[in-house]
Amino acid sequence: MTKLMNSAFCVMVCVLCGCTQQPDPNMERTISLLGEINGQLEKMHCRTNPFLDAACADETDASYGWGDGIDYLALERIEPLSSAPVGEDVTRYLQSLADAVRNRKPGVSSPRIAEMVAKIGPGHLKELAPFWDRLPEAGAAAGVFRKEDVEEALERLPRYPALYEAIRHYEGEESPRLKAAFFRAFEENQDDLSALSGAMLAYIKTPEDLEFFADCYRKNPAACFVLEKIKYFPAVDENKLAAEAWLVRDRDTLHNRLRLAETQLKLGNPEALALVINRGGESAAQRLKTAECFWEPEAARAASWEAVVEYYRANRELLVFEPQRKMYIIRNGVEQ
Amino acid sequence: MRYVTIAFSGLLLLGAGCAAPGPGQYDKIAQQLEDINKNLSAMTRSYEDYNRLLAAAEQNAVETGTGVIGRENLYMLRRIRKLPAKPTDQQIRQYVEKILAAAGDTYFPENSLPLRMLRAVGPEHLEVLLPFLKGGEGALLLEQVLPDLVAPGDKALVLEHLKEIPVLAVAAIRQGWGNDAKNEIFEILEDAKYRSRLIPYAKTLVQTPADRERIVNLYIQQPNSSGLYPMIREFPDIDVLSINNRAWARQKEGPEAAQYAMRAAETGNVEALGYLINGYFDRNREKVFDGADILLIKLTGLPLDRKIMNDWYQGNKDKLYIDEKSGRFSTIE
Repeated sequence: MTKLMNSAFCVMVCVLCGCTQQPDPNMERTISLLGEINGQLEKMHCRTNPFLDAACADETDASYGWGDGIDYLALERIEPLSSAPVGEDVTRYLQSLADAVRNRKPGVSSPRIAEMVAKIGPGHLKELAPFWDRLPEAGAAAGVFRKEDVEEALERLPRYPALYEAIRHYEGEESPRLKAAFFRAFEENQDDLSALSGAMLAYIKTPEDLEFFADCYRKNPAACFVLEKIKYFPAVDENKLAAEAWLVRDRDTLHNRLRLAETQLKLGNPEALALVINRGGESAAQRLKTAECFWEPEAARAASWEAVVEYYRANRELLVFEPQRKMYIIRNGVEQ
Repeated sequence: MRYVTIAFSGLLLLGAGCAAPGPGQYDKIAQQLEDINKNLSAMTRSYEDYNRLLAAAEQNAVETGTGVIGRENLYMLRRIRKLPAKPTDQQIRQYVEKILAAAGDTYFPENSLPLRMLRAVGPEHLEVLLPFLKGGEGALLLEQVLPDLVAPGDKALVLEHLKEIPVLAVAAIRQGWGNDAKNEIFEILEDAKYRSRLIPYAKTLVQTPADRERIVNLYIQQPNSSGLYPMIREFPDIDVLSINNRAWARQKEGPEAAQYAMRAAETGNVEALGYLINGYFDRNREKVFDGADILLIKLTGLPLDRKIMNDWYQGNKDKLYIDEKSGRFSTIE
């Protein structure tokens, strides 16, 4: 029996060895056919591609090189809406539009987008409001935002501050109910109030208004820009307000602390500077503002973030803030 | 004997060729499939490129910031073949000619396709490009990228052609040759056409009191010079009050009056303050007065309210002066 097993094993080994050594003619034919398919594909590509070997062949920019950042192909592919679209369809449609303009450059506005937004028709503010910051053409889209939508828009303004300009268009800046919604946005929205920063100063008419916004700076991380705007009011003590906010937000998240710190770099808050240097520097604006805090040196300003950090760490003990220049200088250094 | 038979049968099977794919064959198949995928991807991409182009062309024309480019021209631009690794002068000439013909004589947004295509020419070919720039017309696009196409070895060529092709001044300064042709570059700066492009670099030219005076005079006298102000503020021993008042008096009817008004008001010019208040609250002009909101609060200490500010200004304009300590206008009682 053992001998029988041995023999069978021998046969198996032989067969297996044979299988691995002998090329399969069918496979060879398959390889050859695949090679032919490849050749055909290459030829076809050469014939059908009008841009083969074009100077811009390596361009992958979604804007297709026109500098506006809009993906026109994606726009083309958006499925048209039905004549009476319902909420979900409208949301899907707007999402596709927002995706197509995701990379558009700041300030680029497109009549085509306005036309496409207009297709949703009236009565869809609920669906449109979340997209208003990305599709500001909505304001110019015929028939989409009407006077009768103002009431609803005022309700939504705190959550979607980008609606402000559209409401102002019908209500006027002085409208008491617009003012009320504006203030409510500063109380409730802790995410992004940048759409309201330009109009904010127009709403400070009384000492109470001023105190309201000062308090927003203390408490609301989305209102970091407020200090820069109100610092020249005689009633505002810029350094005191900054210190209060720094203290109030002592336990806030790192992200929010960094947002606040950025507004205090030029006020000589050493903790803010240390925080940005040690934990921040993610945005170009933050890096630039930090570099601008140092009198010295041209090198630190022009060079990398690493150079700024290194300069700070090497001179930390000697750096003193000079309020006149609003910069850190090295004590007894060449600056003096 | 039985075992020998079995073993023999095995060999027979082997001889008959129990063929199976070998590792080499698998590799070849994998390679071929990979190539097919690459080819299909390339085809898909060119198809998408084509469609994308047509989609863009559906706009009929694409805004370029200062002009538009029609669909046929877009197509022409996309079809221009890239330069070989070591192009001849003739090839470069043809390449540039085609781009300029397709894009037209207009400015394009920074980093847009035609500009990137022209930058692909690279330095070391300036001599071939200069004829396109002579005559001052038809090559705005090339002017935009010219500083990037100048090599360190082009110094003599650049300085020699500076008067004929003033746009070379930017390249000269960027390459560090500004002081070798300071007077010519100052003259180009004083001539309006290329001023806005040279202003960001003007600082490197200013070394002596005479240079500083020339810059200050330019700022005061000539339109579209307001960009010189940040540099002027850094000059030692200047009378900023006098400069701002003279500049305001000269430029208050000009296109940059708002800028001059803001600066003059900040150093105490009451008339400029009035202009600022009027202009800022004019809804049609508010964008021109960008930054005036914070400044008005700084200068008056008042809320940003048209009536309050106007009443205050009209009631006090004859007795206003700026308090140096607070930086705010006060009234002489």
